Amino acid sequence: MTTVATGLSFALSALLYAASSVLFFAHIARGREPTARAAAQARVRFAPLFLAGGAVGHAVHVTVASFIAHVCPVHSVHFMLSMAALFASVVYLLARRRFNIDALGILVAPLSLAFLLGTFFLGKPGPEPHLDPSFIAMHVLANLAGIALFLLAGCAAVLYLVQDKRLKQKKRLDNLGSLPPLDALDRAEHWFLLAGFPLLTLGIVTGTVWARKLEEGLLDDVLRTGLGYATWLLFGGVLLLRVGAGWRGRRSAYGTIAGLGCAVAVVVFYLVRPALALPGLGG
Amino acid sequence: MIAVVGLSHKNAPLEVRERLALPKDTLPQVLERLLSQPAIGEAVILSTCNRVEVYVAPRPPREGAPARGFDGAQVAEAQRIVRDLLLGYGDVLAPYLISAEGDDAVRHLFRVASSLDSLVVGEPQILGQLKDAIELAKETRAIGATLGQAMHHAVRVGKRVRTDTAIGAGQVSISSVAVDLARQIFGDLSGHRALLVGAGEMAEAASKLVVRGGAKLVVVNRSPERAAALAHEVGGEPRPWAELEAAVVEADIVICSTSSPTFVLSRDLVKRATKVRRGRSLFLIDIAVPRDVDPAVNELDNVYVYDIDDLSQIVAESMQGRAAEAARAEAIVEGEVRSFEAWARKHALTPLITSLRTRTRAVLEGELERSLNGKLRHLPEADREALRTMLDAATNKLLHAPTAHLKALADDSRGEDYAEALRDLFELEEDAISGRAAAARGGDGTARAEGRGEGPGGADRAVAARSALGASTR
Repeated sequence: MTTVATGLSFALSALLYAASSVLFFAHIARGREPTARAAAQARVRFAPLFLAGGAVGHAVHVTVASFIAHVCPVHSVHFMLSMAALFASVVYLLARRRFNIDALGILVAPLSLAFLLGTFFLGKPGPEPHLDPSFIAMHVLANLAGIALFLLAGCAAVLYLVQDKRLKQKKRLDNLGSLPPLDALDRAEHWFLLAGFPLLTLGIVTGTVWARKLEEGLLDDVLRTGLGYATWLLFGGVLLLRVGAGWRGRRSAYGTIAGLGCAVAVVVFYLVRPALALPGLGG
Repeated sequence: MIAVVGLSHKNAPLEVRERLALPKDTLPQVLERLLSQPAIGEAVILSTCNRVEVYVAPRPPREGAPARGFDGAQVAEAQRIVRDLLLGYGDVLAPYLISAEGDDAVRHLFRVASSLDSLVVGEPQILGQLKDAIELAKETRAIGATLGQAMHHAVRVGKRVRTDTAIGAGQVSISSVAVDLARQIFGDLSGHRALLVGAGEMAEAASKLVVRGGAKLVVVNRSPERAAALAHEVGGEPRPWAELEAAVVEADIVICSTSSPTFVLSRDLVKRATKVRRGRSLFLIDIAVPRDVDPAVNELDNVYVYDIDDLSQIVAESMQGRAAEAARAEAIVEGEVRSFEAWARKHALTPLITSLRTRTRAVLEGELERSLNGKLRHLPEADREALRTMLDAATNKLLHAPTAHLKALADDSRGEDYAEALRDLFELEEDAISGRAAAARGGDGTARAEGRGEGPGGADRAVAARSALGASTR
């Protein structure tokens, strides 16, 4: 029964994420004909609904899957990326009106789908040994919320670069309004970074404690820890330079994308480790 | 026949067009320089930010008579004169100058008036700009019957195209695109600061839209009075020219439209401003030709520069769904070109018909007067008047059929053959007939000789007068 439920919720979630991605893409790539624009405008209203449906299915899937694995999702590093994508979808749905970033869905929806599929196909969740479950919960929760916010910041940064390039090169501007304003993207990126950084700091602190307790010193652990610190430094640097040196726009976007790359690399290590049968534990 | 020489957005980039930007106040002098040339009788200069075109017609054989048209050599000469004049603004223009004559020139003029040749097909400004060009030519006495009729017809075609097709419906303007772009950078414009540098119709329209969007406007102009008047008109705050850089530092949107021949906002100025702005986005809308903003400014981070070509291109792309309306407009233009050709052919016959009538009447009047002074000298004045009236009626009846036939043949290729035959058979010369008629009325050979010489002499005097005027204003 639970296996069927997890399969169904997974399939439904994947389907809705995919539908949402297609609608967001169709809206961005809408034609210049007024009728095509109107049709795309009408259809895109369903995209956030599908994304919300996908998020619900995703939550059900993670919950049921964790029941099957006898692991609490927030006690498992394995679920982190999947949960981060889910969390990012929810934050996007709540923040899209506030920050005028509707078009961010074109990245959030496919990323949620990719992370859902990635978690499903890469390895199986298992209990993280040797450590207090509440400690792991704090570490995982802080990191997944942080990564979710950085995912959104990264998406805003990518769209910023696309929009900036479009405006600088003065090309494909017949479809004005399909992407959010530059300042809205920059502002959203800043706020997501600002909100995610304390969580990342907490994740780094707990991760450092965890690593010291385990003291196994495996190569992938060292790499992961190094990438974790690099992530923290990059995001911290971007925030500092934004405030101190007036870094905005492209420079900030590149820094954010680099930081997100490191953060995702850390989590991907967790996902591919079982698949590659690498020894090592959390951190 | 008319001819045109010039360049437009179709074949010349903005860097080239701004070399040929003719300030409004210099246009009368340019027209006078053109008219000082013996080959050119009429000229109209259409100078906009997207085109500079000089339309010319040949000098008529005598004052007041319609021009019979350029022959091949005259066309070449007139075009050479205009080309030389335009190349005076820079040899770089040479590969971009295009020319057309006759029906092609008329077709081009009608397409321009209908905004079919505009970067933004269907835009309404061109008709007003053409009317302004005609008005200026009238004020400078540079326009006569031939070019006047062509221009008048062009304006009518432009109006007809706008009325009979939906080519101008749902028009997207340069100003509205500029504001849409500002929204792509800043989102909601309320709370943002805009700066208007200079003046100009489009810049003012864009400023008004920005203010309507909620932005606060500052107006900077070299003339403090003009700045104050503009600020009052568009709802902004005037600032002195000396505070331009400070105003750029504070602004988010800068709309430039000065007539400065050099960059008003250099890369260095904007770079200094961006340092103080600490990365805030800056959108520069450059509607001026020549440009006010150094294009290299666009390379700076978080700074976006759009000139008139960039904006027009976006407008044009957004209007590409109008192909069907443009095709209808092209059909109207083609019909009007044919109609104008027919008119021009009939118009070209008018001097011939007039001369035929004048000659016939002169001969008959001469014979009548001879009889009245001889055998019929006993006739009372009432009978003499009756005879004259009878001769008038006979002339009209006699010439009605050939005149009507000739006019009917104007649309036919044989028309010119018939006209030539008439000239040969009756020894008609349009430019000399009025002189002969005057001489016949005057009744002596001396007057006839003077009359024959009146046309060219008058024309020469006009040329001399124009040359003097041109020389004094140059």
